[in-house]
Amino acid sequence: MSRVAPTALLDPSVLAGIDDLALLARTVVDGFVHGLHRSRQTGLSLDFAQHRVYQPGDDLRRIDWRLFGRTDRLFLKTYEAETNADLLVALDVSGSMDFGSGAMTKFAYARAMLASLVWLARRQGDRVGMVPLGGGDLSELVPPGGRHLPMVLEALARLTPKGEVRLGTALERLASLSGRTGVLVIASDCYDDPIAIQRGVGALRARGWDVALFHVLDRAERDFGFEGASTFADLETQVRLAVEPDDVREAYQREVAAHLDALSRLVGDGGADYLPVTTDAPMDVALRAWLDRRHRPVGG
Amino acid sequence: MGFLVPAILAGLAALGIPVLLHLRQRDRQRPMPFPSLMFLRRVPIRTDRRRRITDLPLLLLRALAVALLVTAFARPYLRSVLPGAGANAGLTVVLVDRSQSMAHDEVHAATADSLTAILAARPAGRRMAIVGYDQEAEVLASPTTDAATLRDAAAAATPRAAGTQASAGWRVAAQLLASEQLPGEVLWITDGQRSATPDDDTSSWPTGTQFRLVSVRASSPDNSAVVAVEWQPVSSPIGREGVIAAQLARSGGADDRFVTATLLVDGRVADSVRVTLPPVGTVRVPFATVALPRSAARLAVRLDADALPADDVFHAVIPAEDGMRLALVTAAPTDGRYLEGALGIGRDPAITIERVSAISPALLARSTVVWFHDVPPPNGSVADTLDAWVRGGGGVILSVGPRLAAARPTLPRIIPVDVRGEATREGGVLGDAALAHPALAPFRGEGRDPLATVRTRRQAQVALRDGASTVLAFDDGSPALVVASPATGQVAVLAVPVEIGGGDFPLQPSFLPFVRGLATWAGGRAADPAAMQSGGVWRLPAVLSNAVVRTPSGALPTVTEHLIVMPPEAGIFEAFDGAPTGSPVALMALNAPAAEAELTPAPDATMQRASLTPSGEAALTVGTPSATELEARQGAWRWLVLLAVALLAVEVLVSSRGWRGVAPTGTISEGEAV
Repeated sequence: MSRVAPTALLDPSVLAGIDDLALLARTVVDGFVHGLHRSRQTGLSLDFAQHRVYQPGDDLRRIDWRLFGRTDRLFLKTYEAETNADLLVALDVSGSMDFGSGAMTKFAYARAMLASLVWLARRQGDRVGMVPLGGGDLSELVPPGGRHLPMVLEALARLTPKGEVRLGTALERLASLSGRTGVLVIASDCYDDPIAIQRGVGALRARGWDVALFHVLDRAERDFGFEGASTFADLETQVRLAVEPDDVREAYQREVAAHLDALSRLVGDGGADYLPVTTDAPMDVALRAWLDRRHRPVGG
Repeated sequence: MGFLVPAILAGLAALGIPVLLHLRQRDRQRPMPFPSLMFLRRVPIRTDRRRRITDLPLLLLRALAVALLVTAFARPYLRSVLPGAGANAGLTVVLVDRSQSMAHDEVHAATADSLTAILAARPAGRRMAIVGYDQEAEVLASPTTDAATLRDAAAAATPRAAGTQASAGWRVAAQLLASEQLPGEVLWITDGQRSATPDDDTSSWPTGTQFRLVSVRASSPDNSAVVAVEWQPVSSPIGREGVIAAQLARSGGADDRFVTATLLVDGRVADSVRVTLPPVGTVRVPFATVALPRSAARLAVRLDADALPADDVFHAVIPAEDGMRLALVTAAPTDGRYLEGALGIGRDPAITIERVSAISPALLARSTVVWFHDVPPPNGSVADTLDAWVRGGGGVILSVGPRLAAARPTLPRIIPVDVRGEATREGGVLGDAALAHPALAPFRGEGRDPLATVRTRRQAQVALRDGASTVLAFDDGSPALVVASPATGQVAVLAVPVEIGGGDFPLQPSFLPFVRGLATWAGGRAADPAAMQSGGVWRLPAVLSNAVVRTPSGALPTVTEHLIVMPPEAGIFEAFDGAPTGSPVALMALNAPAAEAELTPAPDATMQRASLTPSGEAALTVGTPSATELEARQGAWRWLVLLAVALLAVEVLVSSRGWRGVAPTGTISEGEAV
């Protein structure tokens, strides 16, 4: 029932050439799934889904009397439901996100991914909102709303990565501020203590948010494939360090693997979804994750 | 102090390499943006800061090593080892042999080195002249003290496709020295070919002249060369074809040498033949029959290159397949029918025969060859016209038959023989054929001397005049075929019967090629491919109203009255009418003399004897330091190389050990890293 989207429409190297965020999001979504967003939830709508056996207490108006005439048993007609969920996307705007060794920086990739997500969610009738993770206030926050898609895309397009962000602290702050809950999709490079991140995610889940954390990585920062003695400058703090990559590569990769493992364990085991992605991977990872979450049977 | 190869000093620019590397290293220290140093700070790292801050001594060490190596390869020497007086001495004339044999790889390099060394050793203010010579001499630099002029002249003293006339160079050098007040010196740079040694009586050196020989001989005189190319048309119903053969020569070898001889026609490879060359000797190499264009064809025969590549190729031109007109002068209409029939057979060239009983200026104007068959050429004013026509390129053949033998007429001066009467009626055999002569070219090659078996009647006795030569004789030594070449024309006298009844020669297979070859040669269509030697005169076709000649290198030398003295440049020369564009009207090939392929040097005694001054003073000093000997005298470069190697060894030790060693590993503090 699912069909694979044309790879070209999901390839970051292709998408990097699209400046308009709305167009980019639509391109990704159209390329990914057309018609896959039909909910498996059943409810009241015009689209018949299936029959199920009558249970005491069911609405008598939903009994299929014609079927009763043929079978002498009571069945209820169920229909596919159009649910209205809240989707809030959170984008890390720290300076470290402004790094890219390929076609797109981590920030551009994460922004395009989230834009595609809200576009897809909005096509399904969900309410969408956006919040930047970073900066001194939440003035750029767009609360979830049924007609907030243009605002969300515009706010995403305005964001620029700069400064230092402690992801765990930012998530705890978001948890303390949010009222109505729904699905929260976070895109960040997770340069923070895994325990602090786990604490922030835990706070959000405690408030009722269904959290998905996309750990956006560049292949160069994951593999550290640099050659020749170089001085590296931290994009957030501007601190410099001269190293010989060949000497440190192995230890560096061990540290990164440990960090990913800790996040997977602490965040994933805590009930949230932890999804590491690299900026050279097609964008359907995020969209599939969202659909999987969106289509979890919730009753009927 | 000087340098044998100062150009190598340009390698000192290599000193910039360590500096560039240093700068590049600095460039690489420009910070590279990275998302976060969070993980790097946890990794035990080794910074390269310590290595960088102590780079300067290493840089100096490496730069010094590079400088020493460059200086060593420039081959320094002390000027004091060179001969020569000070600045107040007389003129120094550098006499440079630039014949083709000097293009030998070793000789050429040694000549350049010697010139460089001589110029570098010239005391400041010392006047010097450079004379180059091959078949002729040229003052490349008049007496001067200007180093740049001398350098340019030395650079121009490169080998050319020409023979060697050392006496020409000696004369020019002697003239330069004769105009000086102080005795001067001559530095003679030559490979001393045995064939190019000047005659004993050519020297007229001023008294007191110091004469030094700078010998630049090759280590081995072994050399192979293509010295000649010949061709013969082949009758073919489908087009023009010919058999081409090359003559290869080798000298100075020790063992047999296997080479590939390649024939190129108009630049395309037509055939290749593997040949075994003896250590010394010549080999004739026939190629397969090749198709030829109707127009003039450019031939080249190449050998595998050896140390003297200039003579490994021979250029030649096969003329276009044009017809030629021959006027057959006979006493009666029935005479010469057999000869007429023989001449009219075949093509390349096709011969159109016009029978006449007497010649006229109009007839000469439209004819290429006039054949007098047993009739005397005219005397008087017509004889003058005939004389001028021959000297302008025309051809005359006189076949002496019984009528002429009996009449013993007085022949005009253009005919190179006198008829002495009838010969004995006994038959004779032809022999002693000079097959090298182009008129007998059809009979060249192994087993192709059928003239030796021809039995014929002796027709008449003829006596040679000045300038005539016998190329074919009877077995008793009397001339059968006499030739002469007045100016650019050709004249032949034939004492062999060419009609039925005078013997069986007209019935022999050799008759047809004989008479056709004779007529072709007389018409200026030599059976040999057209090829000249440098210094020869090329008479351009009269049809060119505004003759322009283009040399193989594209130069346009001056043409005077349809004559051009061929400059020493091997290859194909092209003649055009007007602008040098489109197809050339005529072609001519030029090669260096075959003697240039003989590299065997003359004994030193011969060279010494040739350089005696008028007073009998033995001025020649054989063995004056050549570049090779100079190099042997200067050994500083070896020490410089050793020193550079030692420095590099120290550099390796210093860069990997001691105080510039590996920095301690450990987590770097933030303050240290900034």
